[in-house]
Amino acid sequence: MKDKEQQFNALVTDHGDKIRRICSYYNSDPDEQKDMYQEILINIWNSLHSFRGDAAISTWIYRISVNTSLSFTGKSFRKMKLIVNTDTSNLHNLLDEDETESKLNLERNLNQLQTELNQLSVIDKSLITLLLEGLSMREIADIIGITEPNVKVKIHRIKEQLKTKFKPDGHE
Amino acid sequence: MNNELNKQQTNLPDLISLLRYEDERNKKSTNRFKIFYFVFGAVYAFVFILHFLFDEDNAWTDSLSGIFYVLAWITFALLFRKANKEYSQIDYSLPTILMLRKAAQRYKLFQPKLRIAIGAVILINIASSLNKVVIPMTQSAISDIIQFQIIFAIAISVGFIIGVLVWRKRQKPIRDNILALIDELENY
Repeated sequence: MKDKEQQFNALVTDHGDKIRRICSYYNSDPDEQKDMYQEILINIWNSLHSFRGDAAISTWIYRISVNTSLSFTGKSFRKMKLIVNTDTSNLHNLLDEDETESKLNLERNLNQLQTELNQLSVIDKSLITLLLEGLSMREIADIIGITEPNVKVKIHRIKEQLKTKFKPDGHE
Repeated sequence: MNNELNKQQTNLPDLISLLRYEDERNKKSTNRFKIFYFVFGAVYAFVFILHFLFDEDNAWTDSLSGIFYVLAWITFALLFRKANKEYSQIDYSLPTILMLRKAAQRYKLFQPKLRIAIGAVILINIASSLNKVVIPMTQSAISDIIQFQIIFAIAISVGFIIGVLVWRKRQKPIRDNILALIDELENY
């Protein structure tokens, strides 16, 4: 039990910020963020026995976070919102255009971006959170458990959807 | 538990003690039915052996009935052990699609273990019917058995219908959501 406690403490110290960030994507309310954060910690505690080092520790943490967010938000499935803000470091990953221009464009239209992202399905929202975390397609595929080409297709589709909405000459 | 945790302001040592408490509580609740059936089965087996050894009026039908009862209680104990093991070992560190598939399996109405449970119920039915057998069979024993079978069938049917209604209300919507997510993940 002592070992488990030490391992748990080390994980929370090293990856606490990452987990908090994931929670902030799904909840704007700090109390709800805290609830979700705690739920993730509980699931990390309960799954510690299954970590054998086959996957990278960050992949393992992301898996638990995404899976918990699915079950957590499953309680209020329709209410689930994806929150992004200008601090989100990988915002430019949402569009494949010139990084600066794309980021500026997105920042100008943050509210609209928020609305568009919240039209997405719960799975697409999970993919977007991992993309915003700066993970590669391979890593996302490992976390979700689907093939890399499948991840690529899904993300490409989401980006295309966003690109259409954010085209300067588009109707949006 | 979330409310309790909120009060703790995410203080790690406090959180760990709450996690321990949660672990302990889960362990206890998941073991309750298993222990009940194992103990009940063991006590029943002990009484049955005493009867078998020392009761001279013991008929072969009573012995067979006792064996069937013991087998049924042990089957229930093993089923609860398996079900509680599954429940307490939900692994959130699996790839999402695997976790969802396992959850869909857990929330399925007709699971393989239902067949085993039906087998145990049939054992109880046979055991109870054997208790009513007299040799040579009389008209009254036959009507006793028929009456028992009717009551048993009604009780099991009512139990099954209540079970299905509870499943439809509480578990089916969750399973439907899970299946929709799996479908979305698998399809390009």
